[in-house]
Amino acid sequence: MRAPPRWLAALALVCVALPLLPALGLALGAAAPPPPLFFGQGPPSWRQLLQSPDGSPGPLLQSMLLALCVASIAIPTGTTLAWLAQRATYRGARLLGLLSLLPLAIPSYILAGTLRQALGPGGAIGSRLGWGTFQGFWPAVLVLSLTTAPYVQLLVAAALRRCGREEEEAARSLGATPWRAFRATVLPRLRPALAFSLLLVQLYVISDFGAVSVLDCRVLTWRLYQAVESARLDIALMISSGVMVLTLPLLLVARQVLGPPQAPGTANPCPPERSALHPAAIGAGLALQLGVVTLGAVIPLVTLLAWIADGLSRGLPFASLTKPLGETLALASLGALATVVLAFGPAWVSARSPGRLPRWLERAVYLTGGFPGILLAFGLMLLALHGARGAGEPAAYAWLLGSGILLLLGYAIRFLGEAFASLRGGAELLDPRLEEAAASLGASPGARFVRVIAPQLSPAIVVAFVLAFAAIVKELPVTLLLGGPLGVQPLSFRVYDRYNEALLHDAGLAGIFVVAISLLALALSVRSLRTA
Amino acid sequence: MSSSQTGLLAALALSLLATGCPQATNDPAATPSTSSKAAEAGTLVVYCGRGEALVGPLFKEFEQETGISVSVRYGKTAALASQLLSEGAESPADVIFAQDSGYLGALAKQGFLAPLPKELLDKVDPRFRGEHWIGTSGRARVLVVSANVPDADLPASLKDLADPKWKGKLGWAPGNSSFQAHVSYLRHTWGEEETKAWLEAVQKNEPKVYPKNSPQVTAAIAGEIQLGWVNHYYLHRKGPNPGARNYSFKSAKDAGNVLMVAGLGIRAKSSNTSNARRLLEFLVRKSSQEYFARETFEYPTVPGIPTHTQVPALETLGLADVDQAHLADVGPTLKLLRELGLQ
Repeated sequence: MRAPPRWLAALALVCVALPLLPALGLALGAAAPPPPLFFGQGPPSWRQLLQSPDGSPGPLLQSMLLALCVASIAIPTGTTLAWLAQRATYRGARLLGLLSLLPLAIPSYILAGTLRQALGPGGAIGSRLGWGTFQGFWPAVLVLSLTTAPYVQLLVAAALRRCGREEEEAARSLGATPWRAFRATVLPRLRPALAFSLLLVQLYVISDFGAVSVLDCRVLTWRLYQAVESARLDIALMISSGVMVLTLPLLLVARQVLGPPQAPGTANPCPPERSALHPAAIGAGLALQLGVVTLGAVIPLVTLLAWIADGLSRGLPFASLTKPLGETLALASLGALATVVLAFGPAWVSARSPGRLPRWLERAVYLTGGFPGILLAFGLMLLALHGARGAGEPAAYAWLLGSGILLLLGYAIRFLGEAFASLRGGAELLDPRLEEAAASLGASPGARFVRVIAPQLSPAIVVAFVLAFAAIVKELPVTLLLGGPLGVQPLSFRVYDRYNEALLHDAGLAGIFVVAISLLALALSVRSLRTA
Repeated sequence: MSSSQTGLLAALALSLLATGCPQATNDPAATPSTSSKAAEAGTLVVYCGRGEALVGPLFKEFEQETGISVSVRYGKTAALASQLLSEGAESPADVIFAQDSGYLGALAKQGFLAPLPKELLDKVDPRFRGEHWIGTSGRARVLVVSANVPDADLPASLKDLADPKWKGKLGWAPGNSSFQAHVSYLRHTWGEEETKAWLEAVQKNEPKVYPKNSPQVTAAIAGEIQLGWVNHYYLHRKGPNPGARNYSFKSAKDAGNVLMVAGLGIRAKSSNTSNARRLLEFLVRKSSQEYFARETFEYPTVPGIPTHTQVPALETLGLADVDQAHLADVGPTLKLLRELGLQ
């Protein structure tokens, strides 16, 4: 395999150093704190993070438990869903497999809000089952598992697709049972995807705010928002160091899971044959798929539609969606472009470099993913402010905010991990023999990239773009803080604003559009993966 | 991926590059720049802690009428106020529109707000203004009551929420800023000890905790709770027959009967004060005040403007005498709530 040129490695390092910017901003902000708005809240203390004043586990422990519980549900679920969609023979397996990706299009705050209403007491389903209130830790586990399982499914499916049937068939012909053949030939190929999944899920959970705020689950991010909102930078900093405490061990674990580099993929894998399943397995598979689709998509969408229908039946006026719609499309396209550009260098270098560099790159990228949006946006803003002051150009602060540069940078850093995982996965599976063949036929590096590498990489690039696009459509805190000065109010803002004001019919309408746009983006990516 | 798809994606991205973010690229007037530049271009930057659904149409009307381009940054009031403090002299903000006027009092105390002219102040009911801020509308703290609770059972005073008969039937939202402001007022009127004891007693009733007010209203309608401690207007947004009702405590001047006032102030270092004052004047004129009564179901702060027909008149609420500054004394309240495990 050809190592990337030095300049690219340097560029990759610069790209992954960018996420340090918000941390720097927070440090600068804490060094020169603003006068406190209110007095008497007391100094921050680590004990508050470990133990709540009422003696229950503190936010640090809650975050840790939440991440563990969600990962141990979402990863097996997502992996099974991916396998069922691609390899199971029963009727509808493939269609249900597509439908089980639907929660990817639904922001965690919408999923949490709609499930809370439907499954809570008094809700359409909750009232029949006579359940208690749908809030707190376990509902958050359910919602976040539903939100993250499709990420796992996508990543594992992409890896499964690159596993040809040749090796598996060879193993079978040597007398291995189907499970043993799968374990020996397919599972090792899935290992990078599973490792990425573990990281993405954990980081998603640690940095999520939407679900935990709607469900009132008192984890670190819940506490963090309070600190930022009451202008307590010292507490915010303490909590962000708590987030780091959670993230760092994950990266060490990931190193173990990743293990030694994998054998390259096959250039043109033959699609594997679908396996015939035992009826009981079919039943279990169907139940899993139907359960995920019902909880993760049907109930939320029906609830959103019910909100709209309720507004219509009461004759409430609906606000125009033209402006928020246009702004969502513009922000998500530009933001996703910025994200892919920022992630490309690190992903390429990480997949192709020898030595320790790739691992450092990976760790830096995933550390970024654990940075909650509010903290990231706040950090970038403080950096721009203090940077502008330090440079003696205070007006530059307003310019950086007003031009949208900070917003796009915020998106790119926030979703670096999503794009990186896909791009790196793609770059890792490139068949070096094709490149070598092209080189031996005299193709220049540029020509090799355009005619050999780019066509092989394009599905990964599209998936990276689409994941970032869909994530930005759903994103809220960065948009709110860094997009506010531009006067942009995209669909996610509309949902937030109207939900806050209890105008559920408007929130429902904007929510349906958020889901529809994310869905379109996903459909495009699934098609591109299929044609690849 | 086929090349046509690549082309499609590229075209999509490019077309959005060309048309996207009009405020960012094509319309320099909407870009917040330094205040002096903004004044030349006829713009105004507002940090707005109120919802876009509530006040967005008013900003639009102001823009159309005056030609002043208003750039609004929405967010939570506390976050915006703290940001104003961080930004200091570099802040692009000219005006801050706070959900709770207490924040305006706190900002004024730190010297961040400019004093307002007497003729502007005089338009507003003296209870709902300071020297550096004016109130634009008010919302009453009430109980939202589920349909299955008869009037006779309702508590006469806020203190009665501690009665064990409400065990498992209450809702509240300790993370909500109106809740915190109300508790801040209780600390000043009842004293620290009594407020703490009352909160502990209510906690024993195991109230369901909501992230904010509106879900409590939904919960009361659904019968998930019998009483929720909220602001009055969420219920009216549900339309004419929402399936629950609002209740102000029967005992006169009860500490539960508090009016919370939203309002505006002008940043002291803004050099765009004439546009800023025009906005303030616009928001307390008759048509805007009528807008608040009609569209957001709030109480106008300018005397003589009637409330919405579905909303009981201000005089019937038995309001307590409230120093709005007490509502803003949130610091010790947060500390107390944390001690009680409510934060």
